[in-house]
Amino acid sequence: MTQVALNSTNMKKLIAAMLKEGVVRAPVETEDGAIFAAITEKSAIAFDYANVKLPLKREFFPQRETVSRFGVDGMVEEKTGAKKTVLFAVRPCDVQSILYLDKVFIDDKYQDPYYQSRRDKTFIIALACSSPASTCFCESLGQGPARKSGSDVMAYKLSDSFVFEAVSEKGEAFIKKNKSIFRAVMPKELQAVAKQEADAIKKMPRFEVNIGALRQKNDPALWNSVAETCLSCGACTFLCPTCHCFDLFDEKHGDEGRRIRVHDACMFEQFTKEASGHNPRAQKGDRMRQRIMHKFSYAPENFRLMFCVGCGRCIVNCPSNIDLRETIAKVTA
Amino acid sequence: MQTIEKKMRETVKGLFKDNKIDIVIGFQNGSLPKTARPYFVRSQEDIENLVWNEYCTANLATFLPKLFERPSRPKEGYKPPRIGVIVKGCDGRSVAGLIKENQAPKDSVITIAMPCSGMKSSAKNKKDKKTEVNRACVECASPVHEAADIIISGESRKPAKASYARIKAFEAKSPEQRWKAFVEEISKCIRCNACRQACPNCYCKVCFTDQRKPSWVSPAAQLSDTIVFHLGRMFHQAGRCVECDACVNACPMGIDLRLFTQKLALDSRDLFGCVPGISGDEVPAMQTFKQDDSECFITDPEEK
Repeated sequence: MTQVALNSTNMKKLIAAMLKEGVVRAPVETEDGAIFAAITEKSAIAFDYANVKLPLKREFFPQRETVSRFGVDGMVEEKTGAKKTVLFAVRPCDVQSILYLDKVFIDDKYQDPYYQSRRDKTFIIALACSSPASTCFCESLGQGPARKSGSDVMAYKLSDSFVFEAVSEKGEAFIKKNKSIFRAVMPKELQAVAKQEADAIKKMPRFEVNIGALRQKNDPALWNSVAETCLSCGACTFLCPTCHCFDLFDEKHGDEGRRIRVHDACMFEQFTKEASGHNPRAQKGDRMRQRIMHKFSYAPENFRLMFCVGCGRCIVNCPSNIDLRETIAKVTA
Repeated sequence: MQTIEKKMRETVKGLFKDNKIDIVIGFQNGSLPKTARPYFVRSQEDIENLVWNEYCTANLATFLPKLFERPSRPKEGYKPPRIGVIVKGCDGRSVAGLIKENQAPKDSVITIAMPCSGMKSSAKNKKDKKTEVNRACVECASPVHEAADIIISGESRKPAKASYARIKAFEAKSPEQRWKAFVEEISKCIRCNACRQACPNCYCKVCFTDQRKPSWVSPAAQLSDTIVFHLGRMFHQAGRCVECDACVNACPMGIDLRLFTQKLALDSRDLFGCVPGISGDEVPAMQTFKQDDSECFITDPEEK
């Protein structure tokens, strides 16, 4: 597919071109880390970050959304109202996570209209990783720091220029439409791109999952021991780009109300609590097992994919530093 | 630090040898460089994994209420486990608070006080500098839990005179400015409950924010719900918060909860003369009523 280059000094022109397509959301640096925010031509985009704080899923599957409204006259489904959006400088791992969520929210039988409409109206420009964090392990999951699939355009940041490569037809059209701001790629730039990817891969620690052993071995005592220091908070699941469990509940005000979908977390003690008071996953080990098994056993069974992109957010943000890699090694040993 | 660590391990070894203990909660090295994480020692073999360094940040008292939870169908002759806890000054204050609030039987807990020289957090956010000692430690008035059952000797941080300068500066702002600052900070919250779960004082079997019949706080996690969650949680800490910053360290979003929890601590000290967790006998401010209790926080919050 078409490859073009852009001098860093011309970034403003690219932002202007993206703004013509719709709302542009890109990582901006805050004192708490990089986050996705709507940008204008003047905004400073953060390119040198390992991962945005909050996962990309929130752009398509927000923490809360109204799905219907009801009153004395009955129930009305909420309309979808996604705006045309360009997501710029997204890490490949986050892009992969969206491909996984597609399997859940848009399958042959059921299509989630809210997710679908955001998905249809979003154009993704991914940005290859040049310096992965010590907690990154995407390469081991068959992905990698410059994985293109899922994006419309793939970008590579070099010392004083960017290389863009069209991935989808939409991406091809975008590059064609804006060819005046780009220039031809120099061979040394392509060499730099290849070197950047190879270097990034070298930096990443390997991680192996023995799915067979994970399925076969189910020792509750072992699971409870790896989950011993778990605080049962939702930091891992809320920050995970592929965790997608949600809850639906009704909020009433007088004669009117709405049905809201909110993120839920299998690590919360109440997640599986039944009306009778019984909780089938009463122990921390049961809940930890569910989270790991869902990603590394049930998802491969259902979708032939492990629902982990190796972004490391759960490792960095766990208050008890429970490391998914160690947990899996221990329970499959 | 290494000799302290050695002494700690030997003490724990002794407790196991004399069969005085079933579990010791301490720290082991984390999976990432410059981190330490909670660790449960259940046998002599585990002791060599115990570490003591400047990254032992978590408040270990938070595990106690669950461990002491009475099984729904206890076996005949059920006895609570005997638990040793490696404590910094703050953990010690929390353990004392839990004992006072009947969440841990005094006879079943052995506190092993460490000489704490201040802890550093792992860098979750860019603003956390790994080289810097946590604010809670810089402002800590009792780095060593003097009321502990066993005290490991060693060099510790000098007790700070809590100045509450940040709180005073915050109080000096107008109500509108304070509200704006509070809302700005709280709006970062994603409602993962890490603050609540990491807090030793948050041991309610069902938190009011998790109750659905009635639903006091909507799970929709809109700003107004999040504000109620935090205000509710904070007010439940009045006169109980030991200023350990477990909530701050657990928060993945870097919310500065200390500014608010410390205000509660300051008020409970100034208005009710209550500093929780230092001595074993003082009654928590909210569990008692005295004729001369200050009421100005209701009638005239700007006055003292």
